[in-house]
Amino acid sequence: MSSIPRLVKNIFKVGPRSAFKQMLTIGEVKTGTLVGVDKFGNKYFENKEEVCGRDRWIEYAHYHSDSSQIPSEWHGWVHKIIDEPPTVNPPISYKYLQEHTENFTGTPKAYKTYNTTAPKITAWEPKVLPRT
Amino acid sequence: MLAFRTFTPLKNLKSTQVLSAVSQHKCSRIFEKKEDVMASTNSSFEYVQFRGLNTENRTEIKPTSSSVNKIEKKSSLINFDNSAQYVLSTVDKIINYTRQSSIWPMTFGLACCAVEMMHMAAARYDQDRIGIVFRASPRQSDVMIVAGTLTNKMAPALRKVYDQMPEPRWVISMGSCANGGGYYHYSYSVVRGCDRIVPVDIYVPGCPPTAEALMYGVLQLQKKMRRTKITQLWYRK
Amino acid sequence: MRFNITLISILENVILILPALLGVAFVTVAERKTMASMQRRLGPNAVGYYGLLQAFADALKLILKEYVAPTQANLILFFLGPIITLMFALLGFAVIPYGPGLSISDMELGIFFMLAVSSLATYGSLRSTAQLISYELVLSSVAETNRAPFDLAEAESELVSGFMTEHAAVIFVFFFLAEYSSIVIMCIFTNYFNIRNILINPSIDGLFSGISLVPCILYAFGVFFINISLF
Repeated sequence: MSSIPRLVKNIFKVGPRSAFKQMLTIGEVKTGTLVGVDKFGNKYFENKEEVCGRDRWIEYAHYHSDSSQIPSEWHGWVHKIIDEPPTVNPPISYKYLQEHTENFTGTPKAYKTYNTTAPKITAWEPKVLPRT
Repeated sequence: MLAFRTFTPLKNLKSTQVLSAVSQHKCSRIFEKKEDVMASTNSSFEYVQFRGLNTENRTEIKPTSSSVNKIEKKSSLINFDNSAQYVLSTVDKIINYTRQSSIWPMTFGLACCAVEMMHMAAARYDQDRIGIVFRASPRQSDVMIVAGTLTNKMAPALRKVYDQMPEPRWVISMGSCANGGGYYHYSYSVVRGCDRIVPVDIYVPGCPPTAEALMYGVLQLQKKMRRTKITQLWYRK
Repeated sequence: MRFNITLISILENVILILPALLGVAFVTVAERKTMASMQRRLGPNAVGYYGLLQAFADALKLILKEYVAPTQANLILFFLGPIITLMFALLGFAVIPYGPGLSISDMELGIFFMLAVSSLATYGSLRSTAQLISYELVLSSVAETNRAPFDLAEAESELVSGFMTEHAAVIFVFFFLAEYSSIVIMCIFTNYFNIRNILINPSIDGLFSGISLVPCILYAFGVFFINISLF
């Protein structure tokens, strides 16, 4: 339950710099155990004493954070699909797996659809036969 | 005059032929004499096939070198030239911040997707947290969320409501029925996508999209608002 | 200078109105947050720290929007309606004593002036006075300001948005401000009738003496509570 004593206590625990950063991004100051860091730099925290639903959270690496910046194994942990984080339970890596990318909508890297079917009208090389 | 359909093989097509844009296929011309046909050949074939445009005996429009240089160099939007652009980019940031932190949607809840929109308004994915308040009147709203199947009967009403919204306005198309006809794509009375009627900014896929997905769509709209450069473009002109 | 007194009175009014409007802006955020807490969710918390800048974001966004007016409408009257509404809603601030001897105008019948002005002539001041005497004060404040369950005069939930439907951007801000400032005025008014304190009497000593602002906040909370619970 967010209250002023809890806010003051957490500011003292976390430190003013991190508290300021958390106020900008999350909106409240939370303390928790650091469960892991992924390869993009996002930090994952957990605090079992919070309200259910707010007990696992992320501190993103970029300021303009987007929830698609998380790789899929950590996505499962944050959304409580999996109990154990990928540090304890590493995911199976298949040979065909692509690098995880974020959602590029609206940026120049966005996926543009293109035609993959055979063309309906095919041209041919004209062969001119002599008139006899 | 000389009239025949001439086709060239594509690899012989010169670049100047592309620039003369009048197509000859529309007018049908008449052969006058057979010798005319033979006389205009300019290659080793007996009769020449030009693919595409007939460019024989036509005045070619080439871009003169002066008109090429007339394209002005506009100042870049990323590396700023003068300090006014720094000020204007901050003004832009403020304007975009106010627009994205108080989004007032006009809900066009047509079908089952409307219930998921109600879920977004409910306690778990709280929309009031981000500043979204549903206003019923189109005159006071920014965004129109088209949620549900758009039928043929409803389409003129949708267009009227969209026209009544004041200018900085966006449209979010929610659900697969609003994106492209969806489950009822092959029906006789369904508009196959609300982007046939209104211009759409964000498409949210799903049938129905979870409330979290709709919230993510609204956050993408906020990102789009963040990218608009109003005063910077005004200054650049 | 010849206009010394006029300048001072203009300055008095500006010093009064600006913080009053600021206070009204924060009352809107307070309303949304209290209603949200009663519905087990969070109110605005993403805009400023804990959502405090939400009102300013709303107002600024509305100012930056295109304004639309119907073609056949009389433009003067169209723009004048909300302006008059806001004017009358803010007139009630003039008769409140803020301290001993500190008020803009010291009328003997200030209470009746406030009642007459705040009803927007929808009921008539006689009926609103009768309403105040007969019901309890907080409930009658809810009735005065046309909030639920007394919102038939405004019809905000029956018609699309009540009488505010066609007004666009900036004009809507005026309606918004007028509604919430009348809530503030009615809360202060309720404060005056309900505090019987031996030590501090707000009708003599003023609004800012002692802790007589605290019951105002509680009555505002009561107004929001009635609004949400009887919906």
